[in-house]
Amino acid sequence: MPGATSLRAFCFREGRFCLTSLWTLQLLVPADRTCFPQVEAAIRGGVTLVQLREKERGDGETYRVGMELRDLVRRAGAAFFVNDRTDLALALAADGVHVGQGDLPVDAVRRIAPGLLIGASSHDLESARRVQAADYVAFGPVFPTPSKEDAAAPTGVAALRQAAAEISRPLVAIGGIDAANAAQLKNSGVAGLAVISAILGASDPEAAARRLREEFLA
Amino acid sequence: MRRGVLVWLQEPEVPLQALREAGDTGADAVLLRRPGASAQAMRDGALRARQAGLSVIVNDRLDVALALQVPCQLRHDSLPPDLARLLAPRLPLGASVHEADDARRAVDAGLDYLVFGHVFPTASKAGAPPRGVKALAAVVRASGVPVLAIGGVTAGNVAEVLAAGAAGVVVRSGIGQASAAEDARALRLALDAGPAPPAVLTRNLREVLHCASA
Repeated sequence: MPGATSLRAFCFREGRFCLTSLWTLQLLVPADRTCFPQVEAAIRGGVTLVQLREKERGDGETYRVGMELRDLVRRAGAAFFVNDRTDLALALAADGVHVGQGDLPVDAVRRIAPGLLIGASSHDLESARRVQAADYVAFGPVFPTPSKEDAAAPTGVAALRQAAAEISRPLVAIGGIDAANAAQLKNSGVAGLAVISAILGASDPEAAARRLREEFLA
Repeated sequence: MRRGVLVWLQEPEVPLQALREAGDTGADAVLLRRPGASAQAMRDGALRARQAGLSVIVNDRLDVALALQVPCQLRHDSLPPDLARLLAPRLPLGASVHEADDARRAVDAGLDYLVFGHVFPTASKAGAPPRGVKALAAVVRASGVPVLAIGGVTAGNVAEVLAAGAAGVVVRSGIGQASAAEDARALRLALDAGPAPPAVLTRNLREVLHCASA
């Protein structure tokens, strides 16, 4: 990590984002200490970005566990993002924040947290266009997913390709991605993948992360 | 002339019409609170409250408060007060507290006002004993910042919390329901007729919350 400056400042050279490998493999985790060994293993296996996504616990608890997670993630060499809560992202001195539908709009987040990288969710071309002010755009669910109960119908790979071709920001595929279907996303124009259960549900998270990278990049 | 500050507790989904009615019956500000509410719901509610001419306090969500530049009220399990102060140095910040120790911690962190309760028995805290007017007075003495009383406050007992030094009250508004407007007006009248809270504290609180000092 670059000394006092933010990861966002560090990543931009002459107005261009120069660390695209940051988006390659993202893991979403709850504020749960029992996940820590899996997170460490996953980063060894090639996870580049860990996003804290906590929907149940209070902020105080999320903050306390989040500090430990942040330190662990940084030590292991990945970037640390916080889902939804820009205040928590600032409090935790995270590298970025990821906002979805129902969260603060990207321009509002940019205003209150100019040093943070911003990711934003989209579920079709139209919603992806609306969040192009973000630093990356998540697109999905690409495949059917068990991790999000209120998830929309899967977009499929064709819609993902179309969005990747049209959207000016790096696109990150999310939703139902696993080692069996990751190869379908190869050469689709997306910058990376985001997963939960494909890694946290695996008996060997390190191997699972490595396999996902291989399927996607090879 | 308005004396004690009257804050209505509402869910962020409250419609504009109910907010207008709350303003008409004498509310100074609206506190938007619903555990689990999305940022967007909070933001939309705050914008409607502004449209209705009410000052807005956002409960818990410092990010929404920062985005709209409105006061934020921290609860027990929000971000720690010192951290919130650091993240929002110029934003009016309050905290709901239940004892003098919490109150001191919040004031030491540089928060602007406190909410203490529940003072009287209330249906929303059935089973938990009310903390009473004496404990309220102790928090007022210990804190040195304006303290709002919450929990079971009505036109009938508001004089007691004012006598204990509260700068005002937070009440769950029944606005929209039958006879609620009448209850609300009675509370406003009782607040203005009761023992005057220390003028410096109410003035300070009105400034903090951007309330009209009508």
